[in-house]
Amino acid sequence: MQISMTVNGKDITEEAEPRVLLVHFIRDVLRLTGSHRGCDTSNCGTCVVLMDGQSVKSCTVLAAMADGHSITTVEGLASGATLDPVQQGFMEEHGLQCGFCTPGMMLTARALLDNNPHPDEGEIREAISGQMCRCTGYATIVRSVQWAAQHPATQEETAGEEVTA
Amino acid sequence: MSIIEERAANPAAGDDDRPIGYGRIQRKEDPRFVRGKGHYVDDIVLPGMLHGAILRSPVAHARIVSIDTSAALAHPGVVAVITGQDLLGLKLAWAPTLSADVQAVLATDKVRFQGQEVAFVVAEDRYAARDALELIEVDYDVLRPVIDVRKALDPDAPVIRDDIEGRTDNHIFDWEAGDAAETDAVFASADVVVSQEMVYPRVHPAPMETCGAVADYEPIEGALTLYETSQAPHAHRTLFAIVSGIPEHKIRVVSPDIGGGFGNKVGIHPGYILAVVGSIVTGRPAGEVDGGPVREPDVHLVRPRLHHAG
Repeated sequence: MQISMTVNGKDITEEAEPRVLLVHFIRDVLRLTGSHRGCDTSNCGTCVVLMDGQSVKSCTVLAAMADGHSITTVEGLASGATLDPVQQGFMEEHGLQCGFCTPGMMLTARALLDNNPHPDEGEIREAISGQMCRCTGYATIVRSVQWAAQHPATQEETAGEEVTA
Repeated sequence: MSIIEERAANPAAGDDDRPIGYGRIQRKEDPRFVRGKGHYVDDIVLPGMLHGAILRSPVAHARIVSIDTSAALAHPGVVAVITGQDLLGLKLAWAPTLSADVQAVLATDKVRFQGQEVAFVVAEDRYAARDALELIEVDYDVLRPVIDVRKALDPDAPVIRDDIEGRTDNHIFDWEAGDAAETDAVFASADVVVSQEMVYPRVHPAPMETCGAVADYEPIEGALTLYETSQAPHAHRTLFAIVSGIPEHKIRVVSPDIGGGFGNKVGIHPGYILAVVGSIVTGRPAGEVDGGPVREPDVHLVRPRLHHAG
């Protein structure tokens, strides 16, 4: 079947079987490999992307269900050369080691901050509670999200930048 | 290149002899990783690459009576279905382990743990490969399992490792260290002796990235390039040379970014070898990304004793 969606601001239309998972569509068809696959069973959260601004596990969404929707992957977080504050925060506060869970963690953080610009630690921990990280022990991830909350992007930094899929 | 950012001037250190750890060093991987530009094994795509899927045993202990792969082979997109019997013909059914034992790449005569690799499908895409797993018919003659390590040495316990010649029980290794007589003397003179059975539960490191491999065997040169989730690529190259007969200098093992390992990616999982077999058999690059094997729990019997010096 033909599937159309907006991915990182770009309209795309591709052919895929109705049963194809969104994570496979993003990785194998669109070749955006920043979204990872760690379990296939909705446990690990390495596949989290934003669908219309809300974080979803893309291994638990059919590509067909995303038809007509807007998807943001880790490749769409930065505006050109300017990193999203969440990306900068993960680098500043050592919120990653192996980097495998990082894209999903950062997108969940982005969705959280969009809805709640000043979350407390409990709210951050609740937001990432559906995702696993084996390297950091989570403390530095929490600090990374706090860093991003304290350093919001200014309009001048994000407006008008070309976003590429 | 690392970017060093000074936190504060250190008057004690000159420009040329700053102690290690002074200042702040940005990790060189981070700029790629936060942009989704990591390069993990599952991200690798080679021209003409096929996808693999492993059929695993649903039971802990069973004799394999027969395996019918005809329906799986007839499934659209399936290129090859490999069983333990095929591997016996290629002399690839068994592989050495890092602990001087052997492990089955695919079960030949019987399965010895739940989740053991039984058959390997190679197909044009990952969905076709998974579909074909369900079309493989395995006739298992189910045997009594050993599910409690404390009962493994009972006289009537079924022998699991009967692949080892002369094995009549489940006593699989001996380990000894220190001076037994001296230790016994210390315990004999202790004021207090405490005996305790300590159960060491099943432990399996579970990094976020599962194990996987992409093998690219080039038949004219007889050269193998293997991309795998490996913490020990050099040891793997040696073992692959031993198992496959390909000279070590014609094997190149590439460990790209690793999504966590914690020791789990030191050993060689059968799936790595199956990716190589898949590439050799089909003449095309073949990949396999799957979880590692399931291990039985370990129980350690220890006798910690208190020695009262007073």
